[in-house]
Amino acid sequence: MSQTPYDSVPAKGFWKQAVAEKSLFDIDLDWEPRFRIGQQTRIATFGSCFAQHFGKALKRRGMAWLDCEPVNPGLSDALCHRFGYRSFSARTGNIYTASLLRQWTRWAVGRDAPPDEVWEQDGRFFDPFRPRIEPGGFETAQEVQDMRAVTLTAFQQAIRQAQVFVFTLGLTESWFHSDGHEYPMCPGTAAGRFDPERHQFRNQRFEETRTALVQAIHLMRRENPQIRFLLTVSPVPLTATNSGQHVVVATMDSKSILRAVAGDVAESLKGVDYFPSYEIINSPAFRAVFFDPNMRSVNPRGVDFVMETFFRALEQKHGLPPALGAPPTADDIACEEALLASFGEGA
Amino acid sequence: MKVCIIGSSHAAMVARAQRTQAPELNDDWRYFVVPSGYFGGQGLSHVGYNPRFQVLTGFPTSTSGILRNLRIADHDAFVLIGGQTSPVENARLSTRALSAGFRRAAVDDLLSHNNNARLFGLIRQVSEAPVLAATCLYYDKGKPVPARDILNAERAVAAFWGSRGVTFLPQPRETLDDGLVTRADCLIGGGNNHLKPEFAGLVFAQIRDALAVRSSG
Repeated sequence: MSQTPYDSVPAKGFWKQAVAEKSLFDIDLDWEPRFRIGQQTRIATFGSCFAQHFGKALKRRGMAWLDCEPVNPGLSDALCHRFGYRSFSARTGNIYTASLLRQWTRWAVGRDAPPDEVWEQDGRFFDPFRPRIEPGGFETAQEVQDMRAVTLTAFQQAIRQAQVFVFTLGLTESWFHSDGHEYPMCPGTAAGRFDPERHQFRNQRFEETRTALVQAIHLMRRENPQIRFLLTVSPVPLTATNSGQHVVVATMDSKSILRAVAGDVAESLKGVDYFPSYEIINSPAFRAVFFDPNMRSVNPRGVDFVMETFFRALEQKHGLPPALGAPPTADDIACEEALLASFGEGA
Repeated sequence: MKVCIIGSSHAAMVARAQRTQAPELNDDWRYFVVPSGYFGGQGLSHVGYNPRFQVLTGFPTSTSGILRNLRIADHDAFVLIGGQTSPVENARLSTRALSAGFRRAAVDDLLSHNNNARLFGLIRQVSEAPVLAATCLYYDKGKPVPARDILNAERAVAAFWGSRGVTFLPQPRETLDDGLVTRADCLIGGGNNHLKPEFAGLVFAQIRDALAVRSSG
């Protein structure tokens, strides 16, 4: 029998050895990071809702997750997340599509000015580009604009300061105004009013998605030539589709395009990598055990498994130190000394 | 009167002052201290509650006599030290570009979601004993906050606790500068942001006086 290239393929390349003969919890996708991400690497995270898990895990691990729109440290996470703080590296809300990422980037770097559109409902005011960011709405239309300007500055800082920009692609289905700007959600769902004359549905295909992503990356590199990108695809299925297809078919269509774009961009652009969180949750190898019973929400075990895979690869390939909990700050150290000093005397 | 002092490392500074100034209280004043750096940075958040035995649990052990568990019913008064942000931090909300809605929600969050409030709630499940509460030190780590805003924030903290029957202990004015932040010469220094013993003594005296008023009232 002659030699073939498959003779030198390692075990991870064969389904039988890499999947079928393993417990699913022992399956390691053996991600090979293309660039070093260390404890001090400044990382920005944006994208669809699954990206929030990434940021939280980086924080818990004591890594240098960028919070470019910080609020008082004493505030509870619950409050901050309700108002869109501490969820992404700026208070953009979910950026579901590559074209929305490009839109935020163009606004942040001054290529375009955001439209002055504000949605009013029962005397409260909503930002069409992040309609759920302020529960109950803003008090005035001016406040909507002012707060968006704060976020655009923070988003620009994130671009400029980040050494690694993590972006999670979430959707291809999108809603545009006839003037050209894109909404993260269909007007009339979270807020606003749907107008069939002005609001247009577009299910973006491969080329459109790829072009938007590449343009966003190029724009950010003009601000920060050293920035690197780590792309992921959200494994969370669509809540609803306007495509006319069954939601399962629409989900597969959308995710397949996003996965293909992420892989293609990572292959074709330098300084861009892809991390397979989508595969960890969605591959049949993992038998859907990481989904809640509704088969849509990813359960905490799944999130942990994804992040363990991520950190393990960084530990093995780039020497990231194992997790030890948050390092003590200077104040913490001083506190411990004060405690010992006090109880060591006359106790 | 058995007094239970629960707090961060700043409570330890009060302990030192009390033991120097009033050693006769050593048997009656008990300290349960969790420095903020302990338990992976959880600090006082690590303290739990066992409803069966009505004890607060999870305090660090120490060779100097700190107890791991605190039986609430064994005490006649409680003092909570450093389990919530200082009025300086609360006032900082007024200096930031925030929406009015978030600012309101944040003030409420800072007042009601903190370890002082949590521990107070647990104590009240068992005991109606007097409770005194003090914040973290008024320490300004960032952009200066107007003194007027700090004063307003301090009043809000006092009102919050007052409405719950708790005596609020503002940081002694002698330890604050004109801007209502802690005077540098009152701190130990060298990265140790705790009051020097003589100034921690002012906090001890404040607690002792407040307890005397509560007892006589």
